[in-house]
Amino acid sequence: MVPGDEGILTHLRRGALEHCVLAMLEDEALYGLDIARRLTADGVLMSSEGTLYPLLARLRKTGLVDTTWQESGEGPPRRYYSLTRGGTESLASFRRTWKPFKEAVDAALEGGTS
Amino acid sequence: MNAHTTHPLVESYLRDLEGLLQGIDAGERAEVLAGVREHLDGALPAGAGDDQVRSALAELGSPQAIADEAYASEPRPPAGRGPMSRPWVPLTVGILLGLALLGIVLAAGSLAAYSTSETVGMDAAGNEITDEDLQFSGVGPAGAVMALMFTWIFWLPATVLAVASPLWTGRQKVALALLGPGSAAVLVGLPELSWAFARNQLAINAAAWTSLVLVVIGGGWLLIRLCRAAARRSST
Repeated sequence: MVPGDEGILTHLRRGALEHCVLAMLEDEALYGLDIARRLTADGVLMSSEGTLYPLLARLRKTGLVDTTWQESGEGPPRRYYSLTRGGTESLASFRRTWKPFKEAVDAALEGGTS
Repeated sequence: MNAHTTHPLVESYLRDLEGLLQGIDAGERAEVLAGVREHLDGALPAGAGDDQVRSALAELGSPQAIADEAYASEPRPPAGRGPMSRPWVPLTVGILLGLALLGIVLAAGSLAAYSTSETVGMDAAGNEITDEDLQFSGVGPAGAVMALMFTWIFWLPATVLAVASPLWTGRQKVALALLGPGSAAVLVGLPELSWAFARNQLAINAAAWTSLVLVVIGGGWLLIRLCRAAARRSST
């Protein structure tokens, strides 16, 4: 990636990343490390794992996710994050707006090159 | 069971992070710290070596990056609110520091004077002897202090305002605070230096003019630039 790209990514991640986390939690509750590993897998959504934790704290504060403790086979109990009703609604709302937003951006970018 | 990670590198990482998070709500801080600790507990096997710990910490990213993310969500008032970020602040700072610069130039100029006195005497035969004796009455550090004392009424309030206002960054505040003292030091110091190295009139003159240009054009340019930038950031 070109160095300047990281700055643009940082801006783009704001707002989108938390909904990606919500989407991950849609079908199953996950613990922090697991979410972090999935998000950093491609290096696009999140550049360093640590930034996930302020984001999760924020999501919980705003009532979009909830935490429960679950025993894990090989270690201390883990904090699992799951969607609340508010989280589900927020995710649905993001899904509705994301598609037209993405298409509008794509169209604008295409328009710029032709 | 893997035990709670107590590796010294982990502890120092968490301490750094805790320090950086002092500005956020205590509950949120505890939650972020607990999340990161749990992450490391899960990522590191019991008795992990230094290299393993280092690579796990590298993947987490710097404590600063985590703190930045935590603060990004805080509804902190952006620059451009509050009484100290109104347009009058950069305007006042600009005018006061401009007057201070002018005062410092005048004070330093009137204090530091050199004279070329010709010592005139008579020899035994009654012939006049003239001895070109260049006198430089440099004012030394005391002169800089005096120049600052003459103008404190301008630069002191300006410095206080600049430091208190969120319109300038830390480095810009330092620049504004040093503008007065720095100008006095340049105005007094350059001629002194040139006198010390080259004891002639030309050198002193050149140094005096250089310091004047530096202070008036350089200092003035810096002042205008910083105040205009702050004025753009200010809000009504």
